[in-house]
Amino acid sequence: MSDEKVNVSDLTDALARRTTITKKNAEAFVAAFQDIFQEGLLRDKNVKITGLGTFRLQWVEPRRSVNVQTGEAIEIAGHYKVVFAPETSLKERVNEPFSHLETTSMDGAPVKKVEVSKEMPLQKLASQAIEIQDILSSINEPEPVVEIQPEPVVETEPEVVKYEALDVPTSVETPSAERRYTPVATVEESKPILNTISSNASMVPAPKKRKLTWLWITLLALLLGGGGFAVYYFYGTMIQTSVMNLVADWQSDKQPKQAIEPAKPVEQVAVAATDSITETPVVETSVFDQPREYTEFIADVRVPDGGRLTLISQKYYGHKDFWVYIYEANKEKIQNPDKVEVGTLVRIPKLNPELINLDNSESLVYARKLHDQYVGLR
Amino acid sequence: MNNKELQAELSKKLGISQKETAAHLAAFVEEVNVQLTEGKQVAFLGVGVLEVRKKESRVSVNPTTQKRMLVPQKLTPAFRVTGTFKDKLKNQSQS
Repeated sequence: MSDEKVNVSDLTDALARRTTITKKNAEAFVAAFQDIFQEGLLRDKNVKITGLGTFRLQWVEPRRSVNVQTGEAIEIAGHYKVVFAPETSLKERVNEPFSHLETTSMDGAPVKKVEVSKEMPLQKLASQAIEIQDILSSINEPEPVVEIQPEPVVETEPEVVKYEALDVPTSVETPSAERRYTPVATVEESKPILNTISSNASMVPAPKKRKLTWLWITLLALLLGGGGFAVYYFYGTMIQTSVMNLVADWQSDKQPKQAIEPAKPVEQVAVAATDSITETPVVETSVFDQPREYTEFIADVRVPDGGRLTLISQKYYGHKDFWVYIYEANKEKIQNPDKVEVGTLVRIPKLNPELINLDNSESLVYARKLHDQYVGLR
Repeated sequence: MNNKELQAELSKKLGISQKETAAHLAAFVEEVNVQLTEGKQVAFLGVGVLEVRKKESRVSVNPTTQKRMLVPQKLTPAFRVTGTFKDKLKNQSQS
């Protein structure tokens, strides 16, 4: 803060300007005020001035202390101190520059980060798998080209990739992806089964070139298929035939190749594992990834004087951070989400309950991300 | 001493009507408000200084829920006793 002082003459000048009294009278007024203020404070131990606040004398009990320099025990005598309790109006006026700041919670549910430490050793296994793959491929044929048709299992849209990438740092997701494939790579017995299958598969006609968009879906399919296979195999609970069916499905669209070396399965898995680094496999937060469409509305609200989207959101969704969805549904009417014009008719969309589930911290995190997007735009 | 008593004493001392005093006092208070809002210090001669202090943002923890909250920085008005009034306070005995 600036240390600029206002002295009595400044004060009287300003007072004379504000009222009709002369400077002389203003001076007298300020002097009288200060006298009476001081007197009143000492006499009543309490002066209340409307518009400013309360000045109070508070008794401080005598206490023992130590002289810092000499170490001598001294007693601080009991005394009065002046306590000033500003009125709320003054507090607010003074704090105007920072009034937009709010107290925020710092517990942003970093649940996913915990997984990282658990899965570090598995990452090592994955890198070993890649090493083995390198050795085997140097002995055997040049590496095959993998191209796989999407499985019917996959129903997620391509947008998943975009949102997930924003959502979670890839470093967090990567180990879990690799972990899912490593069991296959490290267990030897899987190879005989796969050999027979790949020779079967080679009879199926080869697929043609595909568009780039299909490639993404393909990769996703590979991931899910591979993941599923890994899980089935790892737990050993599935009947072999079903595993074979699955793998046959999975490989049916690969380009034909002689491919009877044991290296093949390992290679494919490794490819899948490396692919997973750029993508994220499991879709648990799908609610947040789906593009939102606002077709149903639960209410129409005319923005009142001093009303804000956050307040409306608080009323209808139970939390102010969900205002972003109101904004999204009314984008064409609202130019600046910070300053919604009074009287604007906004429609309150019906939202997927999962999206505004306060028990799921994910929903808040996501809403805040959107908030940053919209507010950061300008 | 509340605002009314202050007004009464002022009007008695200055020899002007209560109503006039009230208007002047309001103007005076408003002026002090404005000066503080601009970040200036206002001296009450012989007593102390009204000033604005900046409180830095800090992290507070709710002891029962262990929830950590970020309290933002803010400006608050504060009163500091100066010079002679300190001595007068010292000499005041408890009552």
